[in-house]
Amino acid sequence: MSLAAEAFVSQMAGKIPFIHVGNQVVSELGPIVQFTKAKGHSLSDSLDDVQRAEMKAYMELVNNMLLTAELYIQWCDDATAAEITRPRYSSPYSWPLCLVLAYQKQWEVRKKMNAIGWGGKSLEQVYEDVSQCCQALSQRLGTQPYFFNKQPTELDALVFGHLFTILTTRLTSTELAERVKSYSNLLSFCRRIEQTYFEDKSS
Amino acid sequence: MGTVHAKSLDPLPMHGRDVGLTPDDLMEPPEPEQEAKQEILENKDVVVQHVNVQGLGRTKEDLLGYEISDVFQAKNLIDVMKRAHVARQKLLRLGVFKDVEVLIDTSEGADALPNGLDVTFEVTEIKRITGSYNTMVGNNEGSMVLGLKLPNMFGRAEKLTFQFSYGTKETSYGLSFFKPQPGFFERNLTLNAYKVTGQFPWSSLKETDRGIAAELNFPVGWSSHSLKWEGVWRELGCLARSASFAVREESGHSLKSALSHTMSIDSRNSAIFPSRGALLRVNQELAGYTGGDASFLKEDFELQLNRQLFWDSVLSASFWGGMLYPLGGQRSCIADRFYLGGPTSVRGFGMYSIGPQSEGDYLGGEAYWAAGLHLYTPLPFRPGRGGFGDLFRTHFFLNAGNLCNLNYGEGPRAHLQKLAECIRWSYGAGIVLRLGNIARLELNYCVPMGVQSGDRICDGVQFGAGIRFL
Repeated sequence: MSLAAEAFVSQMAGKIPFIHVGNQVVSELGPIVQFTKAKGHSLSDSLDDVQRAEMKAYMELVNNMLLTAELYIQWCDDATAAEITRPRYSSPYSWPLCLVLAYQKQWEVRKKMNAIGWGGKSLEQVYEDVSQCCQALSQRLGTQPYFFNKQPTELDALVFGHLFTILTTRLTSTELAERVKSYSNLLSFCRRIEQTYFEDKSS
Repeated sequence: MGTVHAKSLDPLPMHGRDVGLTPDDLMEPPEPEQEAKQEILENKDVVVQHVNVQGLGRTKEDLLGYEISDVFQAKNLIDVMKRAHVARQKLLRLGVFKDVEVLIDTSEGADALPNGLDVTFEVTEIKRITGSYNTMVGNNEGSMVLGLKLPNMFGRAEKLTFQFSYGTKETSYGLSFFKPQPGFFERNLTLNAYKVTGQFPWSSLKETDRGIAAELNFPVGWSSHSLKWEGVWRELGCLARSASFAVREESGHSLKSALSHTMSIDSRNSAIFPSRGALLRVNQELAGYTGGDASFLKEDFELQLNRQLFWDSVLSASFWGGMLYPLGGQRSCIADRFYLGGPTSVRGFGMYSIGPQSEGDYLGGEAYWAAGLHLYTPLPFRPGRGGFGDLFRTHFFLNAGNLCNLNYGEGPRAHLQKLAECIRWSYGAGIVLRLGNIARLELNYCVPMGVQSGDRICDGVQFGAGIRFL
């Protein structure tokens, strides 16, 4: 999704990702999963209860760690915020609205970081946290093609979304991407999903 | 007024008090002397030597010089009184005085002429700061409104007002500064900064506007003009989860920076129930050339003609129209488009519920016209005549209008054709009540016709309150 569209779309539904079905708009991963389940499709049907609970635990880990780290690096690191994030966030709007909205979002994210205790962390600590999270994921993945059996589940979708973003987003330093790349099975996992599901259409 | 004198002899009370007069005494005519005195007052040349203003505190004197200078031109006493009255009205309309009293006296002092007069205006200034506090309840929302006014802030009739409204759903505030040109009150400048929120359930839309505006008003001959620049940060959002996707697409932030010009000529004798005169108001707005991302040219006009017929009834015809032309190839924004329908425009239809819509949400249109023909009569049998009953009128109306989007590639002929097809119209009768000199309430029985699929009608009894009615 192009960067300007991302900002535009987040206004429509409040949060991305979202899907538009008929005249309904459903946003965020949780509700989307519920929605598709209600329609009769579910990726985690083949899992038993223990595995499902494990999947939920890993999804929480990804949300708490990776998502928060991404937000921190984008908005709380001054260099990244000034060079990359604020210009990107304000690109659809004209001056002076772009300044107002970008600084407003930055203030919101920083307030949220302070509230969850990440305000005092340094960039190095955040990179460390990301590494640990990736290590946990890498251990769970092992040599399997997907996290659970041979079928992709919601956890695979979530992890792919975050890791792919980290690997492909340009930041002021490539340290974060390097740390993720150091786990080779995660890297090949991302490549595999990209080739299977996304490159078919464009090729 | 002369003295009353007896033209015919009334029988004197011979048996009562002894008035001590004979009938002949009473018949003495005193008029010739009376008229001679009147002649002295009316026709004698007078010279206004001094015009004073007493009771000034913070008001600067140079401001008043223009309003009272006319009094010096007076040539005789009646003229002095007339001009002094006009000057008093002019002083009151500045909005800096609570009360103005006029005192005309012969001049005194070393340089006093025998026919010299002194005119003194005794004024009471308005307090430096006034506040107001209201609570309002309506539409499932309660709010508290605080107002603060500083009239005559720097002594030259400047006015600063601040209004703050805190409600259960929305909060809005506004700050306004008004400065008239000294000596020419009709030429004035207003600066505004505001945040207002509005909810539009007919479009499932809610809008928050934060903006600043500068407006210059000036008269030119018979007409009054207004030039305005406005910069608004608009934030649109959905009012309900069931809002259609067309409305969802419009939500988000946008910045509008627009220049607008309004010309209005008003010769009516009243704003609410005029019995004669006409109103023409033409407005154009150009957005996008001074920044912002909304870019369009918008024209709209309003015409109203009134004529008194037999038996105190008034025939009134009104015609509205407008067009929005998006520039730069962009689509127009839902907040800029025109809306039609409801008790204040084409009666018999739901509020703003005519025209293009998507799943029950009305999107507005880029061009519209509306016409109304009314016959206003006093209430039948005229109850409460001369008092409360004069605030009411019965009216019979015929309204018509159309709202659509034009395809700007085609010529004007195609545009007119599109506006002329699918005309919605309605007729009916009702009672109108005047509120002050600004607003009116209506209770009508309407029969809507020409209803297109998608319009929402309100046939039968419809109630409306507002300031601007078709």
